[in-house]
Amino acid sequence: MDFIIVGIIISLLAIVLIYRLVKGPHVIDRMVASDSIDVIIGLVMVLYGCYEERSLFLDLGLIVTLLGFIGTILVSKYMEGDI
Amino acid sequence: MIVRIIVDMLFALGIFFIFSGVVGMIRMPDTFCRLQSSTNIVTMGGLPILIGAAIYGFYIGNTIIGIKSLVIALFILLRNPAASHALTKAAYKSNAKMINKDKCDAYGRDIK
Repeated sequence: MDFIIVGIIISLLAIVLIYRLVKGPHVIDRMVASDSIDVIIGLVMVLYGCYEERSLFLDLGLIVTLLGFIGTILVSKYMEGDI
Repeated sequence: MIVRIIVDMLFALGIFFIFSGVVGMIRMPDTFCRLQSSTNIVTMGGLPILIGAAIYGFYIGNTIIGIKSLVIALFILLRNPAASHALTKAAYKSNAKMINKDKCDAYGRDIK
């Protein structure tokens, strides 16, 4: 089971998303791109944990995804005008 | 052997949906269309990969990997609609550019 190959392909797709992160004409475009990159980083950590057969990296993926969710909600509430 | 085939097919499904979501995020003309492609990446791309990792973890006897993968899958399934809804509402409230706004704007009609 080729976890490393899958992780490399997903990482290349995340690098392609940096184009939208740099160029995006609105703030929400950049936030969507960074949120997607964040989830992809979590998936890569899960795949690396399966490759090493060590469950420590899965905790790291869960924490990265949780912090990305909090940041996304914070920025969207700020753009909406509530804060 | 059959477990390897199932896990590889799930990984191929996830890579296909992540690829189509990335292509949509690069080429879509509008902020809201890009939001739709972003949910395509997270939900349909992330869930098959996590389920494949859970099946692999239960197969090799390392139960912690399986249970943690299922927990992460459940959390992603809960977090993605909330984040996408908040982002879409913020994009509408902060006057993001919308293509063909005069043709279909049901949300703007409802909140007036």
